[in-house]
Amino acid sequence: MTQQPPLKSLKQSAPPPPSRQRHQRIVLGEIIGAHGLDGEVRIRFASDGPETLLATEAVWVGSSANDPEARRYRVHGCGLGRKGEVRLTFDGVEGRDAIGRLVGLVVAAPASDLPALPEGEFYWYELIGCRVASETGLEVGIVREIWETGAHDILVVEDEDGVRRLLPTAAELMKNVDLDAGRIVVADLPGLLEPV
Amino acid sequence: MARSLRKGPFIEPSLQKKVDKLTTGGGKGVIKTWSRRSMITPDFVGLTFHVHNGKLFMPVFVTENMVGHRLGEFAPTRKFTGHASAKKVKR
Repeated sequence: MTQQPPLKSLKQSAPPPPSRQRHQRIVLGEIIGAHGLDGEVRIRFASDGPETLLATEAVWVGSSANDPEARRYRVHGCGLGRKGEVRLTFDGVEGRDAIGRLVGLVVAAPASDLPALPEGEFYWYELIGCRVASETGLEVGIVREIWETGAHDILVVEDEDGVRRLLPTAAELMKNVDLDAGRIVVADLPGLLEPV
Repeated sequence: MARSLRKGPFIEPSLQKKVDKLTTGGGKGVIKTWSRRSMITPDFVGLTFHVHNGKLFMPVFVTENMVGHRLGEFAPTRKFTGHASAKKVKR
């Protein structure tokens, strides 16, 4: 049987992860083409559903979420498109040629513009970068990514040595989430914190 | 074709043994298994499994609505990468 590497404590003075800053932009979708001749932009949404994109009043269009050359567009029309798509109309973008120049770019919005979630629900960007500790106080690492499965999502937690651990986001195992402190407390179940 | 009801659900005997040991002992822990084909029965509810996906062990916390499904359904063998920051996690 392989020996599990010991959990190390992280430096308490670590700066808050940039991913948790409220002014950062979050990718909501990708422009994939034009619909019709009236300037409707087809966007494949990256969120769970179209609600977030349909509720936005203005979006940033650029090559990435925090592209410094991204341009802000006011949205003056929206509607559902094909499966996994929404159609938005931007101020100042008219005709298929204008939309053609935007194809492949991402549509983003500031994190503060996203609708608030009910208790017990979190956006991925809020959890990525949080420090994870066990109930007994052992530091496990920092959430680097989140994987989707057929059931609950899985937090990919990496420690200082690059050792990864997978933790399910079930309420029974994820005991406490403090977004202000950027800290997640997980159950201390034997074998749960085994590295992958 | 569906499995005959007469035979009951298929559960790998070695996995069933581990589940019985954990539930009767009242102990807590994670059960490591390669048996993706084993069906989730009501005994499994509340337990956490590490299910092999061909490369690594994916943690699966079993809830009531997973009963009747196979363990492998919750340990995907492919990873989708893309923009997902606006997605939500529900505890």
